[in-house]
Amino acid sequence: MSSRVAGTAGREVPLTAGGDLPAGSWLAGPQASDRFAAIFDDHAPGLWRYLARQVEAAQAEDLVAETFLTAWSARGDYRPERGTARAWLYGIAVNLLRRHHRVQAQQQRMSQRLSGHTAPDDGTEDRVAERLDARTRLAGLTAAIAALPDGDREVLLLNSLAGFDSREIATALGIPEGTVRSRLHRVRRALRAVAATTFPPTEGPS
Amino acid sequence: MTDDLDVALHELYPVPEEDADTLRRVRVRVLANVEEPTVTRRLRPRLSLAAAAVVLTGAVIGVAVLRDSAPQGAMVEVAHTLDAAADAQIRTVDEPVPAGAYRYIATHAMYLSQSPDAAVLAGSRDETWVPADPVGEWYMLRTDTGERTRLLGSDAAIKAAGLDVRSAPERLSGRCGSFYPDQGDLCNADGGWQSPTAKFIAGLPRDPRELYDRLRDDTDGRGQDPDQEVLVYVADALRSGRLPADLRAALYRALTHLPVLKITEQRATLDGRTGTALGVTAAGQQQEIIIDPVTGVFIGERHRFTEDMGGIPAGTVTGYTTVVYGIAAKPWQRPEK
Repeated sequence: MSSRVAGTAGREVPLTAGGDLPAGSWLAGPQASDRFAAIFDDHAPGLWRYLARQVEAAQAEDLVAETFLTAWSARGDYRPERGTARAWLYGIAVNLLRRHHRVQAQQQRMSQRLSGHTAPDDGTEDRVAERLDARTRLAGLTAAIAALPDGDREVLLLNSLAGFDSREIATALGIPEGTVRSRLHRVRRALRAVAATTFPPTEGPS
Repeated sequence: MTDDLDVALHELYPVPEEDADTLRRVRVRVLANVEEPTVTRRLRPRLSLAAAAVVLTGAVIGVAVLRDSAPQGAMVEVAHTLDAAADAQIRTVDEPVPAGAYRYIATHAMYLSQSPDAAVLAGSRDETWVPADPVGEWYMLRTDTGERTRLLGSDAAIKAAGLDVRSAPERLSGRCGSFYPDQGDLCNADGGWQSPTAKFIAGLPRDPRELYDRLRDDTDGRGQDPDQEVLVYVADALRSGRLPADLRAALYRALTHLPVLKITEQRATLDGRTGTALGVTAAGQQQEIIIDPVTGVFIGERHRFTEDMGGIPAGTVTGYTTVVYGIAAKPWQRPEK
């Protein structure tokens, strides 16, 4: 059977904020939903990957949906001149992720109390095995990351996994750029020391 | 700058396997809600009129006004999902069958099979080969898959009732799909929602409102619940696998007029295929259809008890059917892809 999906190619939607639009109204008006769809197409794949590296795929799917729905209802707050759409979206996602981890930690504590042993990690069996394997070798690093304050961990992961620079991280998390740089420097230095003891330096690019 | 720490982090957070369907699903889900404010704005004055009507002239008019008003709230998402599926379905024209070849329609059903003290879901697969010119010899292979899911009763009770007995495959053939003598001449039969013939399909309106009215008329006085019965009829017809793409699209749009239809599951998986489940719950039962919101493909239908019934607990799936289409070169031969 043929099941052709109409693509979004060919749609002409301005992706940059026009200088003639007052701040905050970029995602208002008749073309707003088209512009928002274009933002989705640009950023959803990367955001899903970023989230799915930290939580189970199905949870990442829900978090992506929640991020964009939150973004849409808060679109009046979006100021293109203050930073990229990407930073704005990841900022929302990071908050949702923080809440997700909190709820999950609570559930895990509860199930430990009920069953008397540790609940399994999230993810499919393969992913769990893969992670456990990596985690056995990187146990020290895992523990060190888990012990980081939320803000430090977010700066680290946005930088290392999403490839954000200090400025984008500052926009995403709503903190000064200088704070990002000093946090990043401090966290990376501390973790490098841990990683070096549990994860021998690589010979070169693999 | 990448260093050993990044290497370690990348190992600790492996890049997941990408799945295009995931993002397509999320896209539909998000964009359905993105259009909501416009609809809500348009509706608001009409709703207050409806409210005033209730106060002034009583509930009867209120119900009529609400029935006629456009969908709202969660229903906007239902309507958007169905419209998006219908749009895709219109573009997804059924692949034409080359002369001499056959349209292959395979349905896999798990159906409720029971005795007074035992019940199982039993698996059955019907594969139908419809010739390029449907006024010709059709072929069907009906297979008992041997799948049995216990719903009620002990092994002994199931055995005693013969629910575990696997029947032999049947190879059938007949003009216009008339596989059994009591079906008569299906080339000219009127047919119906449960056995859609060419004549029945040609006679159905493609205008969604008219199609909805027709469903209302045909289901009038039938079933346990009038709204649910509309969806049951739609599911019956879709399950047959006989409906062409334009009619499938029209049915999706017709369902946007069904006021109680809800999204019952965003990611429902039947036979390994995932789509959005839309359902009506009433009279202790739930009927759902599952469609791929992006391609509009009808994946299947499913029904369950929503109250304990005859010893079977609430929530139990009491049957489902999935449909797969293809093109086959010869009867009894499966499509290559």
